[in-house]
Amino acid sequence: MHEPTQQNHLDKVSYNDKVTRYFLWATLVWGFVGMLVGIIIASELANWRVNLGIPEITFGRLRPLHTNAVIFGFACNAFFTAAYYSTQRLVKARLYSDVLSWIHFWGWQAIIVSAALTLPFGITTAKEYAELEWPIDIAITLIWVVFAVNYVGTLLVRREKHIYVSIWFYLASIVTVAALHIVNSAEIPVSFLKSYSLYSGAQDALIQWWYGHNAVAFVLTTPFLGMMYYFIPKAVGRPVYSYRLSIVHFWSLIFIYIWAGPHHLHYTALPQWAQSLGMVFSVVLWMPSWGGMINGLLTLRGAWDRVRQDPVLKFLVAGVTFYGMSTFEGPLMAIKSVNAISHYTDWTIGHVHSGALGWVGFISFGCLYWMVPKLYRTKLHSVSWATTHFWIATIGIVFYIVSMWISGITQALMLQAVTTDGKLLYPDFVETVAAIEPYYYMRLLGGLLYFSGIVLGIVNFWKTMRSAPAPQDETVLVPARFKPSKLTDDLAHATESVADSGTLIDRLHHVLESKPVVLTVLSLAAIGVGSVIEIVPTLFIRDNVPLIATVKPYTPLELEGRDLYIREGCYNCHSQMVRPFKDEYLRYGAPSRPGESVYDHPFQWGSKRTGPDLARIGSKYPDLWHYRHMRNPRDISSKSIMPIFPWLLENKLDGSHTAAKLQALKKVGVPYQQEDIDSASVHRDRQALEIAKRLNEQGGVSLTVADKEITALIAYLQRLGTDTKVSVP
Amino acid sequence: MSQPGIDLLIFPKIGLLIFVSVFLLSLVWIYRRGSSKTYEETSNLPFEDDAGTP
Repeated sequence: MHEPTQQNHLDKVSYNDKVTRYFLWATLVWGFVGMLVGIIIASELANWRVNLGIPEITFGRLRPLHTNAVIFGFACNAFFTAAYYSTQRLVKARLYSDVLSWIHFWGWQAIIVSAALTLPFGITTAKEYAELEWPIDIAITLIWVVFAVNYVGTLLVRREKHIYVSIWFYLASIVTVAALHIVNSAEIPVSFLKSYSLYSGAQDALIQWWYGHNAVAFVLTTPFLGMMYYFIPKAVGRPVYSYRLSIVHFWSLIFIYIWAGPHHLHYTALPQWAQSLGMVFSVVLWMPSWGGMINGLLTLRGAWDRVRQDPVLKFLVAGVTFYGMSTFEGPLMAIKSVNAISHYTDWTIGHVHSGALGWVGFISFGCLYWMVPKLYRTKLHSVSWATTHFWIATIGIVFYIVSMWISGITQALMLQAVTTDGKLLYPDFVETVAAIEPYYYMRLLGGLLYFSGIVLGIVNFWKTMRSAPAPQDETVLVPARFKPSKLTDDLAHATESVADSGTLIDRLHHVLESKPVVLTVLSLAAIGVGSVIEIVPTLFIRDNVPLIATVKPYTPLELEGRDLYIREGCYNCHSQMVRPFKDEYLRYGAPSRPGESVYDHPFQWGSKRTGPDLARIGSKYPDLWHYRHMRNPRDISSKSIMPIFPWLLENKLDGSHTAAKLQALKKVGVPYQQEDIDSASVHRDRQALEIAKRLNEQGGVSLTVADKEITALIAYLQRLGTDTKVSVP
Repeated sequence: MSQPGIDLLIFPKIGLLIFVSVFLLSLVWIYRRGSSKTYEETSNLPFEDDAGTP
């Protein structure tokens, strides 16, 4: 820990800018990697041949790598960079510990590398944005605790009494992400790199989207609001428009955001009351979100002319504008009647990228363009390059989101269309895919433009750093260390001395504002209310998920097949959730019920339908259909854009953990008997042989297919929905 | 929508009352007398480091 030196009642303190510079470079590296992977998967959707028949780069395995790299690699590193830069200057203190800072840096980068080393190999939990397996989950927890200790420690050794509102947003992010990660990642290990979620079906879905939505809130929103409240005033040279509004923004946002998760599960088998809560709070969320946006934009009052010249302000202002657009669109999509159209379609993808590329990306680059010259004590290499970066990226975003809007709404309307005699107008799902394919190329163009901007930005930063003198930590003169007193003393003092100075409420505010730990606890309480009210009843009130007597646990082979379904990331394109709409009833069958997925650890309801729903695919087609479909989907449906999976026909099924898998699931409540576990291998092989015989009879497939992965996957797919099969008229 | 001994419809009303009360209290809090000076000082914190370099 750095020790300041005394000098005429002022101390000389040098900020730890070295670690900030490292985080800055990590932001750029992971931004490049994550968005490059985004380009690859966009190409794969536009043209299935780009999958190249290579398992590790197939869409289902790469899509989680894209989301993890941009969220945890790019966005989190941008947050760490900005938080470490701004907090040291706001509290006039060096980071609490150099050692913790470096553990935080290298530990976090190791986590992202481990994501890159596991996800392409199909090592995944299949929970969106939480795909990393249990050893990496533990590492995330430990490194996050290191970050939290280092951050709160810095606040405790600060030399400024007031804690600026940016730090409130950073603190709320730190505590909430910790809670979200720990609760959602609760899982039971089967082996070193395989686990099952502790929760199942509807419960797992609720917790996953409580996590998923609040990852958007507390990883992709609140840290960047903290950045907005520091860097816009810095860039424009005047304080935030209304500090009061920023306080209302903070408390209302963190209190309301946490409730909104169930809007990801409208019309699913989640209990209705939870869906309604999610919708109502999503709509209420409009208010604080727009309050914050207006506060950010009005900070530029009287200085709008500078936006024309300054690329930093261009990025920041456009970023806040995209925040306003996304936070208008989000609540709109959370309204159930709108969600009936938008959900499972590309509209959602467009919405996400308006927030990710426009809000997170632009705020990040605005802050980076501000910080790089400061951290390297030189001028930016080229202002015109930065301006070009801004315009290419902006045009790229417009291409991206407009194409996804058109694609999403087109597909939804085609899927819902019925003829006057009550039949589906487009009964074959692939017809709707063929209709939107041109927009996948348009999206690719948008992504390429945005990516080109990033490359230009990285070269600009590189040239700026190359021309700079050897980087040094900034040294400043600061007042003596602020020594916080005990909370109990403060409260006693506050109530005793009302008559002397200020009102009671005024003094209590000072107590709250000067206590980072109290502020943290209150933030945790604010997010805790909504979390507990939504999650606890779903977990503990049995009526919420009534059991269905005919629904039984998977057989050993079906369970192995399910794990292959997860390994290949099928859930990225296929849902297993029939909503109560006429077209879905006609296309897929009866609406899904909560009790149907009580043994699904994790749930596989999905969030996007690039292909059709699979909840009732079981026994719809013969085994040979699935065999040929996985070998080459075009053999079944000429317009299909699904990748090929020939390796499933060649790879031997690894059954070394079959019994352990049943054992693990038994521990989390799946009613397997000991004899099921003891004879798991025998049952698995027997069922595989039955499928191999059928494949042989139906299409002359060699009986050697019995020990291949494809038989397990066929077993799983043929089981889906059969426990509650209701014939479709 | 009720269970023995509990009228569940009371909960939305209680919830509404709590949310509106908290919102109004927070408004009273941030507009409390004499707070303008504090907020003005705090909102200028981002600029204090500009003059601190030796």
